[in-house]
Amino acid sequence: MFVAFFQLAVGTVLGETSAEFPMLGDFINGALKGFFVLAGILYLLFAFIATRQIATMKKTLDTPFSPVLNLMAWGHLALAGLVLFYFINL
Amino acid sequence: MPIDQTATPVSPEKPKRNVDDYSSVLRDETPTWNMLNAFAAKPMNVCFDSQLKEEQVILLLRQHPVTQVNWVLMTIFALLLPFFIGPLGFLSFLPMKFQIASMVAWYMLVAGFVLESFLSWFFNAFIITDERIVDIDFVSLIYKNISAAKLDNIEDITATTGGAMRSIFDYGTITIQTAAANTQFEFADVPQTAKVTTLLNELLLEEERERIEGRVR
Repeated sequence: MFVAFFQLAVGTVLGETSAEFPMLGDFINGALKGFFVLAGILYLLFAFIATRQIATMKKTLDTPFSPVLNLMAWGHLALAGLVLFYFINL
Repeated sequence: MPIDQTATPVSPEKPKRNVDDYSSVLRDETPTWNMLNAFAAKPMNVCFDSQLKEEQVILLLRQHPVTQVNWVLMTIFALLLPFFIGPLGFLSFLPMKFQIASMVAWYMLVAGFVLESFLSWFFNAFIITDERIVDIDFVSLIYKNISAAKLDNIEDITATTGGAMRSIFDYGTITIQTAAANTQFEFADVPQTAKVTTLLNELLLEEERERIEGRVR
């Protein structure tokens, strides 16, 4: 019910009536973009914490698999950075 | 007292027998490089931060892989979800660029979930050395707990295996009562509980023997 109402409201503003209320359409667009950027920043923070935590855990328990984990963590961090960059340029 | 000269490595000051000399469980196991094994006997190149110079890691335990099926299935479902809800036009009210961004965000969330679930399994490890038991709990990305107790302090070992899955896949929980600061260690859902219990008993016997023979370190 709520989702349908949300879809209708946002869809109406972004689609059919955006020509009539361009400022409102821009506002919704900006808000959506802001939401994605905020989510991207939070995710980047999570990826950074994961990288630090893996480095800490590597000291706690070092195995031959540790370098692979490290690589995974850095790859994940790089991906999170790329996604944030993509969201900023939406 | 006679000292077993075949044992390796042996320190002149602290004569120490190799674990294969007194453990029937480990004698049958070959050293492993596979660090994704839930029952890694005599793991190669494994060390932990509070490890002593002559301390040898003889068993590395993790939760049985079958206990991880839940998050693996959830991941598969999450990966396939966009293909099912996509045709329903759930996000069609959004401009295309936001629809694509939503998809990217969803897959990043799935990647984060997989990473954290895997790390949680990988670093929740139980280590048995020839001197101590160590329980490493990696609760979340920002919380971990490490407990250790000397084998001398072990007072009671209980292995619990119950339920169909545990019986089929041979895993269970080992509870160890100790006289250390942390009075209870729980190795939850580890594979081959009978072997682990036997090994712990063999280690306790060896500790007793060391004490009698004056090889206590």
